[in-house]
Amino acid sequence: MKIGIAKGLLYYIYYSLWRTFFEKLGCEVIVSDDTNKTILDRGIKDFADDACLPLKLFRGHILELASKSDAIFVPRLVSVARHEYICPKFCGLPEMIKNSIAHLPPIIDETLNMHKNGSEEEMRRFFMSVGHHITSDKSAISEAYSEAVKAQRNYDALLRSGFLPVDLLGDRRDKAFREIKSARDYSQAIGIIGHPYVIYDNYLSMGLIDKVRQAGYGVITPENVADDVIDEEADKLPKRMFYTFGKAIYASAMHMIRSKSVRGVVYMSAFGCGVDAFITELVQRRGRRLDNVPIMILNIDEHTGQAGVDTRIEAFLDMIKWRDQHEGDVPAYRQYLHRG
Amino acid sequence: MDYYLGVDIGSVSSDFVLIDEEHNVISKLYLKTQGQPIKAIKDGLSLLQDEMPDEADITGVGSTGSGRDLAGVMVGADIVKNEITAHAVATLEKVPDVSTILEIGGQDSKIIIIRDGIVTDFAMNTVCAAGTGSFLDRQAARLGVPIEQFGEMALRSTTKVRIAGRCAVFAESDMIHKQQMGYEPEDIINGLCEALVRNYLNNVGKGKEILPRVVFQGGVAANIGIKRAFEEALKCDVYVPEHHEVMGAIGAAILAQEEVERKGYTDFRGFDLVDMDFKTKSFDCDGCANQCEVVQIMADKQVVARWGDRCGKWHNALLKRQRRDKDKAMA
Repeated sequence: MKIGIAKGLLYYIYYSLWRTFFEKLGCEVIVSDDTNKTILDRGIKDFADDACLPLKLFRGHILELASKSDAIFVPRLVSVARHEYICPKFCGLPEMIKNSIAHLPPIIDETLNMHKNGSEEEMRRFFMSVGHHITSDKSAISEAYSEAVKAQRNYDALLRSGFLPVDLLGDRRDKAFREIKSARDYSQAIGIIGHPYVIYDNYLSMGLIDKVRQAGYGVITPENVADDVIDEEADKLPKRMFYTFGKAIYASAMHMIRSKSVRGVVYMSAFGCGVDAFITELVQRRGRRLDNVPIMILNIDEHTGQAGVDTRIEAFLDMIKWRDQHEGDVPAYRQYLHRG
Repeated sequence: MDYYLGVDIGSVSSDFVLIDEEHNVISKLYLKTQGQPIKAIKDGLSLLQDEMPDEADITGVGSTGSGRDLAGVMVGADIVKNEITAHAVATLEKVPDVSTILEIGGQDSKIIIIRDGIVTDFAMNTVCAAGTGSFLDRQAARLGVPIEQFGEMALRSTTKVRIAGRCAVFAESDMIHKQQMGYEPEDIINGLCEALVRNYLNNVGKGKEILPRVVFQGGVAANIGIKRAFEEALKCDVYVPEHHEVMGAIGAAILAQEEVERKGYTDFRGFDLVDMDFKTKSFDCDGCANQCEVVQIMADKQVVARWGDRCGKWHNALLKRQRRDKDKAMA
């Protein structure tokens, strides 16, 4: 059985988990291509125009999978952590997909809601129901689930050790391991923050990560920062932050600035993102209060031209070089990234 | 004499500046781009050539502005730099004690924060043009007032009129509403200037620490109504430098001088380029699903530059050929 997984939204976070689970159940996993113009154009066409760009793009990826898969995996993710939510669009994602595309193969749209207790049980229950679409053999599903969790733990550990999803997924994987030493050679780093489906999609982000690396800087993202560090930073806010990704973006930015592990922070946001609307404000205001680290917000949308983004990145890096030439306090890359 | 040329090709204006080795402005030109940067660049250079002293020699060229890549290829620029850096370089040269640069151009507006002679922060407007020159241009056309007279008329205003400046579309309907209430044109214009300043400070200047000395530059700085509105809003003096409208070009020229001193020669094509035939052509690459629109700049039917391909296939092929040709010419 061929299971389609779209290269969009939370693919960058959970792909190891999902792929391992389906493969252990004997399925072939089909992933859509890297985002390109055709996928984006098809996603945008005849879709709710007030949806954010990553959502439209996700639809484009589904369209690409429709003819290649026996079933497509579009889970209804309500909450992925205790007492937290993710953006509400994820609750309606399966419906938005099913009602905007005709002639789709079956959609596996089980619900995951860890809001109440955040326990392993809910995750297990979710995967048992997903597995039920493939087989009725409960012990096989259970075994596949355990393997999947193991694979995800490995993936998360690699992310926390400084790799980025773009290094670990797809054909770049081998290259990343070869270059692990040179990655540490970067003497300085830039923090790139934003929702994973914006910053890791090379097309949407207009190659932001590659551009910064080519300019000679290491890149640190929210996915590189340990969970307990994120919780600790988020706890410093007067109110509890209940958006999982918003919290990670905010807290990792504060950590990067406080620990002086970056020379600057670039926040890439998709136009119309409700979570970003207040997290960008929070990052700028509280970040400036912490330290004099430059923070730049880049907004992207359908019409966004490469030139505008390039100008801003170039100017931002020029500024950092300029500051370096006049300041002596250049911190070593990753020196403060992890707590001892 | 060694002269350095700075070219700033913006959406509304194309600016050309000649500086000497001490960075004195020898001559400057401010032309309207009118959507035809190739023509503007040629016109600018031929006008500049007429003005140049006989013994002068151009030993370096730099380009900046949103048309900097095109300009860089046409003139053979030694350095192609973004507008933020170019503006900061020029302002630091002319006003060494600057702390804040307010720059408002046709489509862009930016703020640059400088501390102890270093750019420490900057911001550019995002997708909205409400706080830029084109907004004023449009409203001036609506009111039938030449944009050059805008500032002076604003200064004659005696009554405060508050116009919503958040969005150019709302501002326009609000302005019509205020007109229908019978306000004098002077008061409406002053209200527009204040709206633009409010919008600029709320968007571009949001969260930035604006300290004196504040320098105001870009095409809109010629408008004394805006300058006064800034002074009222910031409660400090706002300084408009002598060459405020060409600061980007001055910065590009200074950067070109540094670059030429480093590499030891210039790539300047010479004034002959005025007679060359430049054309922009494009084609859709069908190498992959991205279908990139590849832009080709042709000089006398020869491809001299290519961009727009995300993978770099076309771009790199041309670079390789140019390098080979150059090596051949050297040998």
